[in-house]
Amino acid sequence: MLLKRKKRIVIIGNSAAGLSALEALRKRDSLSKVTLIDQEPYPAYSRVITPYFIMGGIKGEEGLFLRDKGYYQRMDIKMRFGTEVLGIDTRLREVLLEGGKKEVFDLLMIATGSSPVRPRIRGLKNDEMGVLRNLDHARQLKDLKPKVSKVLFLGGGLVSLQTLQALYQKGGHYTIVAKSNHLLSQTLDQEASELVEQHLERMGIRILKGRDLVQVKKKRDKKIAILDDGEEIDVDFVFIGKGVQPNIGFLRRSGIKLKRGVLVNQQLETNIEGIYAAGDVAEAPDFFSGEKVNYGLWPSAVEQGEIAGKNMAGLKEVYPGNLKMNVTRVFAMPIVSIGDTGSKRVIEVLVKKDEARKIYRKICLNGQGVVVGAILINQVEDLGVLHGLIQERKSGEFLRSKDLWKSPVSYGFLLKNILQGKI
Amino acid sequence: MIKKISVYPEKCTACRLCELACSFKKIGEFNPVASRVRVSMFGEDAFYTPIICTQCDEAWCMKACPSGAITRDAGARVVKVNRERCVGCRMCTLACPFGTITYYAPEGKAIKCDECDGQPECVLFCPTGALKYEEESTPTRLKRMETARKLESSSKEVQP
Amino acid sequence: MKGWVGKILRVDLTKGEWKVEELDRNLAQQFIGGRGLGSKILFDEIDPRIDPFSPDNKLIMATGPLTGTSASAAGRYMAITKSPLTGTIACSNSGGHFGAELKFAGFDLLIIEGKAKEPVYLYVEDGRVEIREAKHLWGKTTHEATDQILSETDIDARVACIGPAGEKLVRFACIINDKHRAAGRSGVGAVMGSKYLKAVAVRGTGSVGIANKEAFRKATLDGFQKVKANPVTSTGLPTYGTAVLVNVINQHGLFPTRNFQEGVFEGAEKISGESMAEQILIRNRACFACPIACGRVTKTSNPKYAYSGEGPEYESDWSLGACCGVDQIDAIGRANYLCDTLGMDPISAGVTIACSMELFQRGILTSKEVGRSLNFGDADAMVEMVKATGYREGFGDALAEGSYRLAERYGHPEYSMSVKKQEFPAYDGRGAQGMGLQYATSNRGACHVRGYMISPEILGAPQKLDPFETEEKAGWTKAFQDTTAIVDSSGICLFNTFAIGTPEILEYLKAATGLEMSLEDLMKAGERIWNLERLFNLKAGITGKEDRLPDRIVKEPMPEGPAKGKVVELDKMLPEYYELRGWDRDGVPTKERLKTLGLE
Repeated sequence: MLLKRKKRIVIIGNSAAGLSALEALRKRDSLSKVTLIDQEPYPAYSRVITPYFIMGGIKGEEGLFLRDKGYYQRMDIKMRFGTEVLGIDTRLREVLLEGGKKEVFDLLMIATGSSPVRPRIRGLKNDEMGVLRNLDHARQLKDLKPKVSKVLFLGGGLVSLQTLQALYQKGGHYTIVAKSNHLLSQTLDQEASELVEQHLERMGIRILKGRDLVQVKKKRDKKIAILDDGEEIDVDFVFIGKGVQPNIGFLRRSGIKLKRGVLVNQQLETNIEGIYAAGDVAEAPDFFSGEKVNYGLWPSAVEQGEIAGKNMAGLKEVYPGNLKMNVTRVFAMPIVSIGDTGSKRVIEVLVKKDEARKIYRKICLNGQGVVVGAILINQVEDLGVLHGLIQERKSGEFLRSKDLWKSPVSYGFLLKNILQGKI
Repeated sequence: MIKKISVYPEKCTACRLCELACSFKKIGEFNPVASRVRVSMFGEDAFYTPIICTQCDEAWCMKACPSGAITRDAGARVVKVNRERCVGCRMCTLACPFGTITYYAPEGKAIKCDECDGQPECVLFCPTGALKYEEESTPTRLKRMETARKLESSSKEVQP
Repeated sequence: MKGWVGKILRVDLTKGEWKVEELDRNLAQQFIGGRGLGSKILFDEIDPRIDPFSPDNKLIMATGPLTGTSASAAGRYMAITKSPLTGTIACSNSGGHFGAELKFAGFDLLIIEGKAKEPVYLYVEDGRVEIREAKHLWGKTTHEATDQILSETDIDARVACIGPAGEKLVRFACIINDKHRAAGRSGVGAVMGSKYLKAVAVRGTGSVGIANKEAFRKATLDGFQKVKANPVTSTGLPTYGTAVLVNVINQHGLFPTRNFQEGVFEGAEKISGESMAEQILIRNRACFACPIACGRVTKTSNPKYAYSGEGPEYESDWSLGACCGVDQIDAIGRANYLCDTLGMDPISAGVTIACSMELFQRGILTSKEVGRSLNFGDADAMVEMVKATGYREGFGDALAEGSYRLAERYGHPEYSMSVKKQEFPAYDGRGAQGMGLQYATSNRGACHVRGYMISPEILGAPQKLDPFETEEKAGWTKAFQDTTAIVDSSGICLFNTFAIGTPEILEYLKAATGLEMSLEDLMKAGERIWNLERLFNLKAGITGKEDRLPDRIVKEPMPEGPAKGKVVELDKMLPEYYELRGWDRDGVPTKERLKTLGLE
């Protein structure tokens, strides 16, 4: 409708951002010639649920695939899966592929995602480091699971914890080594982390904070991990959960502005017209400050992809920024973190702690009393309602009445307060 | 025209028969936690209403789902959770500001209203017509505003 | 087990310990649940002669096998204990959502024993319980305590608690759950207070299972249709609440006025359900799973009587209204609200105040004792006395003992309108003979919900009986009493019985529990429960001699109205009643009858 002329559109990345861009585009533009390129040879699958795949919670790899068999055909695209992109020629508007091949574009979408950070550790080669980012990694870990019972996890973030649960077997020895002074430091505050740590320790997990892995020694068939304080730990396997970095290597000399990732404006366009980026590779405006941030979240990738896709179809939609949000389970303990829970913006916190029931709820307000963030542990039923409240930048005043914020806030409760003019 | 579940909050008496009917149909037991519809009510305030999925046009739960388990069939209105595919990660429950998709712990899955494939049990058991299954032409969002307006008139401030 | 969740929670407040016990399936089958099962456990576990306020008394909160299901109005629980008002077994039934939540938390019954050293409350949550300190809640009203407990536990929790009246052992203090629902009569709240137990909060996320799902769904839909088709349950109660009865009962001349001195109230219209709907009603509110929704959310804007709450019900509308000669609906609403928040039975409170008004009218009481005048029709006096009673302040301390002890103290027990020391509800037996017999024989003293003879005698359901006729009333009364015992034990609300009867309840129970049971078995269970309660009372020393009515009801002819000239002819009905029950001339069940009931 909006776009009558056929265009040549290339999307690099067949995951959350790439797919939603493709779908948003095709909804509005069925004529343009679209090429979808991905380094991996597989149909689109979910990276987020690979830990469940390793655990055996999903029936085979089929369960990871996000779209049905006829999907790509229906989308009417040229598929170039299993193809590495070597560079972008922004002047000639060409995507340079391995084997000297090219794809010419009018519009380009960069959604190449990110890769695990692999720190240098003496005695541990890159291919000996366990990581979890893609399907191949997941397959390796799934095969490895029955063979490893002594595992060291370097890094105390979400990926380490999820992989730990995926590999966990009764009687095994699991150690988490984290540089920071509490686990999930990117997601939780100290007190919330303590609850998680206690819970992990009850499951027999050893947690070493403020420590680092410096070397892995091999003695006959045994591996010994050596920490910075000299402690030696017997291990079968070392898993690295030190975060991810955007896949931007191929853009180094392209003229596209990069920082940690690909910098984009509010319309998710790069400094070069007609070239967009979304998802884990992008640095897009923050929900609160508008400063460029690298989100690294599945729902943000979907949202960004959709807006970029719409804009490629000729719309001028603005990305409002997403809230940082995480929900996960650590051995059945639900953990939620939404929005801003630790910056200077947070002026006041409403905190509920219930030692006996291991409940922790923290609602963060800014100087104007607007709800900006929340951390919830073990009593998380209102996660969506709180998320909506933060998203709508609502005042948290009403929550104080009769201390009602201490319990999960229902949508009905919000509605009542909205109608009574208290929100 | 397509039928959908509409809510008439002013007719609700907070009896929660909808919750019971729903859970009995879905899990064969009576358990409000397993119900896809919830009645919100608060102390002495004369405010109570069923809260049920409006099957949003732009379904946030569907967008947020990282396992492709939440789908809307082509041409259909109702958004469904595929139980086989759902891994219970709760991302959808985080995305829904209405709290109408919930995590059901005994199954470890997300649950939401699917309007019982055209024969909603909650509507059958609602004694007052607070829940109706009827043709609906107004776009979802307008309808929701209408609901809010009705609520306003029915929830007169009752502080002494 | 299906229907029942199969577990009993037993809490010993003296030791601060608790344990979970299995529900005895055989016992459950014989006594159904709720009132029956709770009474059986109380009967087996306490000596009926004990002081109701001693730590040896137990308080049992019991649900039925239907509680928590979609059977019509199936949210009931019962508080069973030895009554400090009557000395009989007490079983008070309440709706709201508390009972269902207890089932979802995994318990059919909660047995509370002993006495805490200082105020505590219980937080029952999915199969376990915490005994929590409640010093900060002591002295608080039921509404304040409920709000505070919700903020300390879970907003979705359900709270049953006592108010200042229960703490101060007002003999007719009740247990209030969900802020406005009451296990109202016989002083069950005072027993809770005597145990230093302020509240029980419950949160449950479990299920109530059903044995035969398809049959149960069919039975519930069928019951549902019948409730929707019956004019009382589909229109009368939802539109005007229970107070729809005010005009009806007044027109029949058995609306007790000014402490039963008359049977027609000139101000009835002003306090009728119709007036209430016009003046104070905001919205209907149902109890759990109830298609009727007789509950009223009300408030008044009259600053003098300002409140916002629920009710009044027909009974409280009458006791605080007509019985005290008061015709101001907002004053009644306020007094009823005070009963809710202070936690006491408005029937006994109102009738006791009416009794004191009669003592005042006759010069037996003077303003010196009371501290003010106490005339019939004085709304302010009535409201003031309600508050004084709840806090046991001034003359309220005497009122808190109930009308019998009050009147006896002043040498005129004949002015207490009570049976077995429990005050009458809102029907004068002189206008309905069967109701008179029912009052005299009710196992917890004067009570309308032990066998609602008004239904056939006045309302004509299931068939119209002549209210002034004594013949056949014994049989009807027995049948109604046994049926009520079944209803109360199953966990559904008695109001259903305007529309459905024992055959429907049988279908519910069979489908829910999977037990094979005939209608005869079910009726026998009702009779078994009735006789068990009787045995408790006999052991407690309350004999057939107390199956009596006040002299006014049996000797003073009704002065005016349709029932003019009538008295309750109890002596014509009581011997036949005993005979039908298989009791001897002293009202003691015979060995043979007990044997057929399995109670030997």
